[in-house]
Amino acid sequence: MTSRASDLVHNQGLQFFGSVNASISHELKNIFAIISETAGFLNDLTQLSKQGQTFDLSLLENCSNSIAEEIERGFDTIRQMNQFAHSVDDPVKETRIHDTLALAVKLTGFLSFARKTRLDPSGNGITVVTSPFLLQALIYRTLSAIYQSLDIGDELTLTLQEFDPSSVTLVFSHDRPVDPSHFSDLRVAELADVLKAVFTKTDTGLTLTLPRENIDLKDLGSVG
Amino acid sequence: MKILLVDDETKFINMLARRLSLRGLDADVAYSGDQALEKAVRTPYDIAVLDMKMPGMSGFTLKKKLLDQLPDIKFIFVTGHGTIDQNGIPDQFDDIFLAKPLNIDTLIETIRKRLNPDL
Repeated sequence: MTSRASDLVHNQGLQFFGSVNASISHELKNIFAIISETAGFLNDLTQLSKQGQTFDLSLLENCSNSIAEEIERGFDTIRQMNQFAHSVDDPVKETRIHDTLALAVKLTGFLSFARKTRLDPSGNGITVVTSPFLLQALIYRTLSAIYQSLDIGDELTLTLQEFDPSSVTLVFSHDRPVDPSHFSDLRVAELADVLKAVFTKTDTGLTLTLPRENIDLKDLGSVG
Repeated sequence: MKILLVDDETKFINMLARRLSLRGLDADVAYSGDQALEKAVRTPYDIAVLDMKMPGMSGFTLKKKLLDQLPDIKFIFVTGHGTIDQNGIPDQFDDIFLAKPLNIDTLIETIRKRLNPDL
């Protein structure tokens, strides 16, 4: 890994890893809290039944459905955690950018200030050769900054576009330009610099252009 | 005793309200800070149990706004944050935190102590 990229992984990476894992654990605690309360309610109903009181049996069905739903939500969260954990496996890799975006949307969805986000399915097969972990960090921090500049009911759309053969452009669009005050985080600029990513403010949001292959990162290690 | 439960996790808060009701406690639910403020206009709640992290308005911001409407209301914060679990002991701002998942008996005991500190 180039020393600058390597430094970035060490300096920012651990902090990023920690903050994402904190939000995942928060989500899991919410899931466990629902399962715990539902199990407690089932116990309450059992005690009432033992005392000879009757209750609507549909309550039991609702409880079991709720527990099943929360377990599925938990599995989905753990799948995302696992996918995120594996983003550090290869220092540099041919990466399906759509997958990185989809994971970033899910992971940022755990933040209390997240906004409704739609990922356009087009461009699903587009790849870039880059550091998957640093790219994940850049997109996560970009989404976080955009969410903070949006109102609670606003929606964000993410689209992948190929304007020329050497680069890929991610379009973050909503109904107005982003507020630059939410992009004062130097970590974003540092990540963008190492990944050779260029931000452009537009009338309806923001674009992020990435090289198809980041030559500076090529000697980092495996390119799978 | 009128209790207001506020959390954007709707299933969690509905189930909690139901369990409190089975124990003879009168609990209303709100799924956001704004909804809680609307309900507080109509009902003089004695205590609010607030999730700390909610979309739109944090539990701390909601506390300040509720105090403007109901100066005598008491608070308990509920959190999924890993490092905050004081088992109901007030911090330096006299706030009480309980960690998720909750124990219903601990919650009820904390509510009673919060409303009657001499107990």
